[in-house]
Amino acid sequence: MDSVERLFDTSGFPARWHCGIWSAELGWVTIISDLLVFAAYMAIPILLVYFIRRRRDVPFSGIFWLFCAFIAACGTTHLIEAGIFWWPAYRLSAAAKGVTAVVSWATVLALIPVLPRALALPGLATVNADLTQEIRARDAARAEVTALNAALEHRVHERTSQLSDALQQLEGFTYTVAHDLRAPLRHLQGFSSLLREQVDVDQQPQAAHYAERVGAAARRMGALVDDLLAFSRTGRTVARREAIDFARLVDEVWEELAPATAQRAIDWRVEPLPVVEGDRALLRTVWTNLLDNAIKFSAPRACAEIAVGVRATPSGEAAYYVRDNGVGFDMRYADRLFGVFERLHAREQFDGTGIGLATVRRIVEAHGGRVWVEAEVDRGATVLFTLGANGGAPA
Amino acid sequence: MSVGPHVLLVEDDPDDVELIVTGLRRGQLANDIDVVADGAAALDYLLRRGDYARRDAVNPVLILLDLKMPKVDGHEVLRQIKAEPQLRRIPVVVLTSSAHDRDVAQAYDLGANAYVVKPVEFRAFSEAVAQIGAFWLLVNHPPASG
Repeated sequence: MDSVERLFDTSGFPARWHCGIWSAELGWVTIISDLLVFAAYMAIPILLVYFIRRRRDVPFSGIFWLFCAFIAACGTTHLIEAGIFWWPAYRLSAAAKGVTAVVSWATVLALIPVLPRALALPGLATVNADLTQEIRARDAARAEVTALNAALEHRVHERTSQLSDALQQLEGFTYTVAHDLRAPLRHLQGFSSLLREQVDVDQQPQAAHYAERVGAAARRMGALVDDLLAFSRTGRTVARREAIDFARLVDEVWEELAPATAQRAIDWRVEPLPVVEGDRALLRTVWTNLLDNAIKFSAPRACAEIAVGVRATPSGEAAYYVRDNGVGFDMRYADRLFGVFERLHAREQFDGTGIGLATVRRIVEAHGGRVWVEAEVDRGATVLFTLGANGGAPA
Repeated sequence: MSVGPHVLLVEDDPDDVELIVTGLRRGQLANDIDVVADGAAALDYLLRRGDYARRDAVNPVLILLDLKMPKVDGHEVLRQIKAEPQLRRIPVVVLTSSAHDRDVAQAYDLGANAYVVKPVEFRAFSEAVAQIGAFWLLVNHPPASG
């Protein structure tokens, strides 16, 4: 308390007005200047504080606080100087100046280590330039990617149209060839038939036999050509997609095929089937071929069992199947089964050109599905197929 | 050349000619059959010009017409037959191997009376031809000839 009283003690000193020959002019210019400096030196820290508070990410914020401190302290010294004109508080002045000196040097000492670090900070201009460069590089890269994509897209499009052209040509070719083969086939069949009639089977049994074989071969070739023609027409993408009641379609196909089996005992079962999306005509062909096969290969059985249904595959797709208890086949040859004109049984055993399953595969794959078999020799076979994403939900 | 109700067969393939004629005979049809091997000859025959200028002025009661022929093709022959007042009443049966919708449509548009696709299998072929002959020559009432 004593030293504080002492600070404010003005004894021993005159007010500055009375110390020296002060003209009003000189005096007031000094006083007003000091006061203005004081005001500025108080305003500046306030502005600095406002800045620091607003920009919280300012580095070296401690330095800013020191600046505030020494500027404010310096401001107070100017206030006291102005006051001394009336109130000679030289002791207070000395104290204020001492504090200012200390804080100022503290700032100097604090600034020295900070300076190199501050110099190391990249300037805004540099940072901007770097960023701009990087952005340009990224833009260039992106433009290149876009260009490459477009080029790729173009190439894919070109290749696809080349491929589909080639495919169309091939199918057109198949169709033309098959069609052109019909005329000579007709002649072959015709004349071999007439020949057969000309030959007296009693007089020339061998000649009759040969004529018979020629005619039979020509008829087989006719069937192959017809099947090839039909097969080449089932290619391409599925023309129409409509909702099909599969169970009803199967029943329709069965009703067409059943009359030919009137003499046989067939245990025929159809599980409930969902509604699927696809081409009705093509899918009808699928069922016709599969049921035809089932009927054919179960002929040797006293009681044929043919079952149609749907089950879920491990991956959750709906697999429609036709199962028979016919002669089956060896699974070792299963992958040959779907080839065009591939057969696993002798002609004498079972009729047919071997195109039924190839057609089924073509149609199923055109719907986005796949077809496969499970069979055992003498224990029957099951043919299963899916119809891809739009094939309906598992039962 | 022949007189009496006769049939004109326009067909370029000699094997088909033989089979068709055999088929017609099988149908017990006693009519004479004249054969020409291409569309130009068919028109000459019908219009009685060129090689056929001295043919008797009797029209066939039935024309069996193939479509795919060299020189003048079947469609063109059909068009001209149906454009000619003297000829257009003669029944024309198109007998061809093409089953193309386009060919069928065009033939009917040009006025064909029937369109038959040649079956590959001989028995069917033979029967088809016999049936054609029987219908058009026995059952059908022909227009007045000449």
